[in-house]
Amino acid sequence: MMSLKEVDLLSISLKQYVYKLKAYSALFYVLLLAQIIALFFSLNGISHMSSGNGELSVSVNTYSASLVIVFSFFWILFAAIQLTTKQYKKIENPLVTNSISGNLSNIGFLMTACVFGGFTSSLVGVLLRIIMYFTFDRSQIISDEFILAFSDLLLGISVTILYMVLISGMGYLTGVLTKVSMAFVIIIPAVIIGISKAYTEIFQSLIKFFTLESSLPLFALKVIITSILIFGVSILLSNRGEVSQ
Amino acid sequence: MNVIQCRDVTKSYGQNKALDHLSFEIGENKITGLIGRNGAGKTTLLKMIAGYIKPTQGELQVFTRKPFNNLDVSAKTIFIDDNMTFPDSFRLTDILSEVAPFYAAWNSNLANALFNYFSFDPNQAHSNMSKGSKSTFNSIIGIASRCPLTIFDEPTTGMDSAVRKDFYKALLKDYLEHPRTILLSSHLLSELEEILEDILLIDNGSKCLHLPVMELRELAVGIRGNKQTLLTFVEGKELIYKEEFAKGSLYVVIKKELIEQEFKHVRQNGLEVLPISLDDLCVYLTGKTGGGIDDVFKRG
Repeated sequence: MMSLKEVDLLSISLKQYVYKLKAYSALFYVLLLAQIIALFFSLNGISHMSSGNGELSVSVNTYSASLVIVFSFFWILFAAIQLTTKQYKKIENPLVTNSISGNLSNIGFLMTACVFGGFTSSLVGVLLRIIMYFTFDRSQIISDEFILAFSDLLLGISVTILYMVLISGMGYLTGVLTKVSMAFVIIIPAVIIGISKAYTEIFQSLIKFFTLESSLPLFALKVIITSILIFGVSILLSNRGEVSQ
Repeated sequence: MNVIQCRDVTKSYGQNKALDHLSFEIGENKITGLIGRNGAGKTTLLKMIAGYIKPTQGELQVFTRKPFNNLDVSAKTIFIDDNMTFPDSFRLTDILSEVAPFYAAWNSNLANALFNYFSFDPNQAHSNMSKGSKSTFNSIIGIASRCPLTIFDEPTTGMDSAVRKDFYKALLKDYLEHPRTILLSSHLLSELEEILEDILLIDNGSKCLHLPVMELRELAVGIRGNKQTLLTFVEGKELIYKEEFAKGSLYVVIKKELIEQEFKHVRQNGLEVLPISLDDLCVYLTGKTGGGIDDVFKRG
């Protein structure tokens, strides 16, 4: 009984990952609900423009499922921060755990959530098109992209997933930092606003670094490396703290 | 070999010392009761052993390793208290089946049998349970996990007396079949002493004593009788406790070894020798002043 049979970090993390997937299943329903709400908003068009000269009037409604994706981004940010809170951490206490396995299973959960969110939000975009196709006067639809090519759909899914990974990493790090000190609740927004005002160029190029990449593999590489760094720092930072009950 | 080795461990929260240079060892497959007054540092010590918090100073080893943030120690330890949190999406039966894969020696049959015996509703949510039911349910996890080191912090909080007795019986039965190291903290020593082998009594974060229950039972006696006679008799001897319960009558608690030769003498003088319960003895040993609560009322 006293033999120190080593426990495998990965297998424990995997068990925790499965446990958390089941435990937090409600979060996935929340996302679906948010996406459906976003879909209803989108059905009215995201922007409306009309002009006329008395004889002729033109009115243009723009439809886009981007609101669905925005909602999904907020959802993953919220989920990532939630996972670092005391309330969620307490769920690990009855299990075999240490800080690293807890973090790894959280990251695993977040990645799953990103994939789920990426797929569903893109598919809701397809759903929007289908609803429009059947309910609108088709002759009035002007778009090259109305019929979505399958390769474009895949591209959309991949890019959404990658953005969500990046956002989840930022949310997670924010959550971990606020656990290190509550001062970060003020410091983080202050630093972000400060940099964007004082070092506009650096800030702009940082945003461009991620938003203006036209090659998918390169973009993926950027996101993956950045995320590994962000999550790595999060693991290091949370490895020191005591478990509070 | 020692399962827990605690050398000079101190835990401070700011100025406040929850544990103060505490040293003790706990051997394999023993049931030890951790006894102490409110705020003595019981929970702090247990959480430290379970690896939730780390010592400020000193060295604590569990299974020859530092328990804090250690996966190997965590795999062999389970900490049961009434703060255990489970996901709201799990029903009670889900909890039992989901926690099971983490513990190598988990016994599902036992868990289910206990679950049925205490007639829980399988569909209930953990967070909606009453205090007593929650304690009972958590204890089932503690017993069924069969962890080499099982820690119960106030396991009987809120349980009614029938359930408490069942819990102790179940724990003892399973322990006899599958020996393991068990640490129990409780206020209710009188109920607990039947199943304990050792008692670790702590007071204000320091060790008061660490003895087998059998030895502790033999440690002290109470003597009651006329104040004058008794005072002359115990003069110069160290008293554990002293109480004047009526005018001219005195009750003292004294170590047995100090009066071993004079037992006859005691009885001849019309003094009464009384056995003392472990519960009372522990209270007296950790008492702040002699006299107890009665002193508060005497002044009025």
